[in-house]
Amino acid sequence: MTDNATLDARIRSVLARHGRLAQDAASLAESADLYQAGLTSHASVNVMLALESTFDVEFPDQMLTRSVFSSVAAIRGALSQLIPA
Amino acid sequence: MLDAAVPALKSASTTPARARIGIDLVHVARIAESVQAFGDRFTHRLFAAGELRDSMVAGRLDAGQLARRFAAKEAVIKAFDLSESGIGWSQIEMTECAGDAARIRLHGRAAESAARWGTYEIAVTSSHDRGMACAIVVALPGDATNESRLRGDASHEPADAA
Repeated sequence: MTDNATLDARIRSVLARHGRLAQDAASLAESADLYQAGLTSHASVNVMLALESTFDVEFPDQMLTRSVFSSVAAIRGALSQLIPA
Repeated sequence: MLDAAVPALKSASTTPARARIGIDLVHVARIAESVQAFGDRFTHRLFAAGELRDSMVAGRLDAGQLARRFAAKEAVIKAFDLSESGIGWSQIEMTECAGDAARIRLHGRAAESAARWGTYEIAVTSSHDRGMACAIVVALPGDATNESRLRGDASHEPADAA
């Protein structure tokens, strides 16, 4: 499993538990629009807080945008900036 | 922080301001679930200290009160198109005083981002009942000489706690 694959699996796990998606988080394409899949603004808050716990990071205010939580790939990109190398 | 944003409110927009409106609907039970799941991380991340004080009912945080305020924040985000501005939710604050109208106060980046549209007076109303909370925000172009702060005044219709 690549690093990205590991990251994606953990992201999808968070989405499955907190995203209240209408689709299976495990089978969503990495670029699939999570809002189209049912993610609400409130659920995105829960996802953000759960991601912080899972990855031991904190999203700064400037990253609290709709686009950061719009897809698995977008979340991965944001986390990549927050997780120490 | 709010006062520092006032000059930007007067100069950021080069086009005539128009009325802006936002609405949001929130499940009260889901806010309660978030409080239970994330505790202070949820409440302190989303709500200003004053909002948490105003959301206490019988000595406990009331999910319906929090849901009304969360809906108001989302309504402001929609009204001013702030979803890509990168702002903390606590920078959008709904204040209420007994016998007074509910108000929206914008702080920091939220105030600066909203100011790009011009100077506004913001009206907010919210309610919660039957497990749902709703807030509507209407922003009308305002006169900075009469209204020195980007804020809103409106009636708050009390509702039964959900």
